[in-house]
Amino acid sequence: MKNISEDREKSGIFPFNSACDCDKEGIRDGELSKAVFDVVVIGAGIVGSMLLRELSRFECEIAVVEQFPQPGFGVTKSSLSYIHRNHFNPPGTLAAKLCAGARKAFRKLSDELRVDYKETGEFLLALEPSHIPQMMKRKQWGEQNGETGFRIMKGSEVLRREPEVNPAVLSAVYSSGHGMIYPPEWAFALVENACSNGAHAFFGTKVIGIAGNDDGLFTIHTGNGTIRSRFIVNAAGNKAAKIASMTGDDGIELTLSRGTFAIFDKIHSSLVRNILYVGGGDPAVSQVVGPTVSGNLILGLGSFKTPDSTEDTKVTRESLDEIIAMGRDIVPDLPVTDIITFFAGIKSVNNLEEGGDFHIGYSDLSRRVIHLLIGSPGVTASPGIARHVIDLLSDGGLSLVEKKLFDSSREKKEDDWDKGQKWPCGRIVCRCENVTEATIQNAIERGARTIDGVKHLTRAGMGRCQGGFCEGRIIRYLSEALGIEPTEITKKGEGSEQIKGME
Amino acid sequence: MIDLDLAVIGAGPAGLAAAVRARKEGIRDIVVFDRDDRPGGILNQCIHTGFGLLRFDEDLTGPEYAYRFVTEVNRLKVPVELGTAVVELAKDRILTAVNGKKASKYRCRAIILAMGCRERTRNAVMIPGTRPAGIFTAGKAQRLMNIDGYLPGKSIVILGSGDIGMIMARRLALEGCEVKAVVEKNLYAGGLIRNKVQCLDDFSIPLLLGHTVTAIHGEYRVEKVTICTMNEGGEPDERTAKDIECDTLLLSVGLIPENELTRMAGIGMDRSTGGAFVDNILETETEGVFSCGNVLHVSDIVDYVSLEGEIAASGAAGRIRGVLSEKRYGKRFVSGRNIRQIVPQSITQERETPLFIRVQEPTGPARITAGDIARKRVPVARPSEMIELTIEKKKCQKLLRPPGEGTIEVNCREE
Amino acid sequence: MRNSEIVCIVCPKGCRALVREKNRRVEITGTECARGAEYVRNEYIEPMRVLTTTLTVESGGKRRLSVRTDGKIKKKLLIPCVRYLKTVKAVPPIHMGEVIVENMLDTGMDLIATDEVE
Repeated sequence: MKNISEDREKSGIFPFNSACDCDKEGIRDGELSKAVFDVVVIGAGIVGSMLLRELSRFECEIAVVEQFPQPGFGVTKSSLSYIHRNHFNPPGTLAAKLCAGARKAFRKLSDELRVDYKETGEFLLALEPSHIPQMMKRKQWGEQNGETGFRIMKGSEVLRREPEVNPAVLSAVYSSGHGMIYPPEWAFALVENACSNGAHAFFGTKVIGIAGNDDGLFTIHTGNGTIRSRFIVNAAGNKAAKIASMTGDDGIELTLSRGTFAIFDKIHSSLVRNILYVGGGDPAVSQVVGPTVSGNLILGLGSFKTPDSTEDTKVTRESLDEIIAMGRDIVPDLPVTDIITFFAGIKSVNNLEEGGDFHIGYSDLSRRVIHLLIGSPGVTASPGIARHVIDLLSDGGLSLVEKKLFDSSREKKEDDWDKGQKWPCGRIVCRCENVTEATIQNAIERGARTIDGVKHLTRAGMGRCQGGFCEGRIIRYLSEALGIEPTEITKKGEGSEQIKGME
Repeated sequence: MIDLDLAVIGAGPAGLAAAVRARKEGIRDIVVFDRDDRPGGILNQCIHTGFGLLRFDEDLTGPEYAYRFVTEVNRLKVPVELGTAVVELAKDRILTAVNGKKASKYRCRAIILAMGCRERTRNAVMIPGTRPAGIFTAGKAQRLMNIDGYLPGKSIVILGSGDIGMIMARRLALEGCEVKAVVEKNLYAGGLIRNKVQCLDDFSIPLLLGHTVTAIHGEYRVEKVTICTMNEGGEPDERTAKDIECDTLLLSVGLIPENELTRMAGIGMDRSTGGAFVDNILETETEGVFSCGNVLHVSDIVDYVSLEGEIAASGAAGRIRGVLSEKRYGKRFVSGRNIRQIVPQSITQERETPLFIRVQEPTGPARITAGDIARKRVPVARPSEMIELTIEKKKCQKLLRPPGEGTIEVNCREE
Repeated sequence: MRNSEIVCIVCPKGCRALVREKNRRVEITGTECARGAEYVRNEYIEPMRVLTTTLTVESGGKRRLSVRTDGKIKKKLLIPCVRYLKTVKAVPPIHMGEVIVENMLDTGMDLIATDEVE
């Protein structure tokens, strides 16, 4: 078995720990294979990251293991990025319970972690009579879940507020205060803050097996070595069933759905100001047109088809045609020629089936293993899920003593955007998104290891030219900072090397 | 707020030529802005020859062509603000430029827009499939190779037969890469014939006309692409699907004028060119703002780009000196048979005017006409090549008097 | 006797010329002008091309130096020249038009810089 520490550079384990309080007794990276953790979280998506950060408040040794080179590279990266009001979950369900208070939690975290969170309004549109009961059901659910402020609007008022909406609109349910975030950026900041409070993060580290031991510890086998832990939280998203089978919990099946998204050029940032759903607007299956936190227009979802596998994030011709047709239902003059990127994401949607719900609970075999089988809206529920899992861990026997010196704020290095001015100062590298050299260097220092990683943290390469002018420089910065050859720099982890040689 | 006679946005072939001409016409107070660290724009990565045949009667490379203008700009002591991005352009000719240290506002008597163009991205053309590493636009690959010294791939399929795509096919082939095919959905090559011969035929690279890429495969790195023939309805015929193994897909599927600033200033745009509406001194519908080169419409050869820079500069100099008459809108040119685009779109000044025309479909010998004021025979017309049709000065009068309404139809009729 | 088809690139028309060789006499059909015929004849006898490529720069601000041959060389020598140039490094300062390799591989043409490096 390979030792984790030997493979550290190659596997892309983060420098997060360099920021941790190393005076503390106990774990150092060099001793990880011998180390014993109290809790290991599997998966650093938005849910795993949120949990890690909340767990880092307590006096226990915690770690996250993640197969991808950075937090939020899985489902999190391809999610709709809205913090919904609690009107998509049937009253009385666990999902509804965990989504309660989400916006408040995100607002607070946004201040603490200094990551972007903005709010906007939402219309559930009735474009035909059959949509009316669907949208009214959402209003009713929302109110039963304790939300207020839903307003029914006539079509004419909808059009006054959103002139681009299909003029056939009959009526709508409007509500304000829906949050918008960029989830990969959040996942990163959450892990970063957790690590500065003593947590450990292992990236590029895929779990391949889990074994129970006589000494009451679990041994987690990974592609980079083994880690031992008293408790395991399975937050592996789409791969949660696979991880569950490793702990002996067979027979769990996730229903997977693939959604397709299109992002439009920023010149259309004011085309619509609110999130526009049709009818009941289910966040996993319905069509939506809306703004993003960074000022693009997003068109999404539609395709409700079970993909071939958990990693099958192909964009298909049918799904492209489908979302564009659906988008045109909402906004007839959708500027399709100004779409700058498409992507597809897969999520589990068990809870959206009739009578379905989130399933968060102990393994059949041990109260020290917790499986998270969740679905949409996972991002919205993530703070609630973290609190809930901590309660379960506590009930399962983990003693939780709050740290005296928990630092809830993430130290954000001042970069070119921080000086309170409208325009960045510094050498602009990404000309479409005005990202400077210092901002990119800062992201690499924080732990971005791949081209996509830099993109998630800085938006460099995310704009209309999609990296046409800046990618060479970003490869060079990464290569210089990491001390590896440019040919070893990947787009999104091993196997995705972006260039094939040097001239 | 800094007062300025003339701001030129972009120090590529259009902007540099404009700056030189404006200075030669006696404009003292000029600043050229460019966000790159060196002047020359996209020419710096175009290391192949083919530049300057019309203007200098020489076959120059991109950097050499740029160098001639840079030398001239330096000799005339025109200030070029490098590493400076113009981030805002307001209706009243006030622009905001940011460099490494500060943001500055300039109030300009005239502005020449010379921002050039960018490539269409893969996603804009909607190829289904995965999103692995190894997908590049041709210009991005060109930049990676020629500026950064990185080889984008070893085994390559190129979608689109635009000039940059074909030039990259040769560049990669010379580096020992295997260029498996250039796939073109139309039944004719997108770029110039000399590039088809010297970049593809020379290296026995197949050009698959009437084909397109319908899928990209590979989770982490491109592993293969699926190609199909196009049916008569212009859709890929899935029954003809065939996979080609490759590690890289280059896209050369067209260029888009980079007009974000133009739109920001609320300047009227022509959908057919993707650039501003201009008159025959290349002035946009906003007085004092001129547009030239690839930001106005994508040109096939750089010599025209520089020529337009000069026309715009003369116009701007006239505006600054106050010698231009008030605009009298004459008749507008409109696309008739087999015409895709026309620049300029209108005549407002009495002066000899070259019309730059692109056709919709390739034809054999044809007659190009602009109403009854200009005509020209061409042995062949191709969408990839601009046709220049000159309107004589005295004919311009006819368009201006009486001023106002009406259109002049431009046609291309095969003979 | 050899027959071959050559596309003329003198003008955008792109005439397809047919070249027949019989008893060491070259006969060209399909071109419509004298310049075209001349081009096709040369292309048939010995196609010539300008080579453009980049060289590694030893040090300095730029990473690559763009270069070209100072005139056309035999087409068949393009690839041998590129291979050879893998072994050549440009040492700054380099000026526009400066000769980097004299009479490269006996082609009779110099390799010149098409850019500057300080």
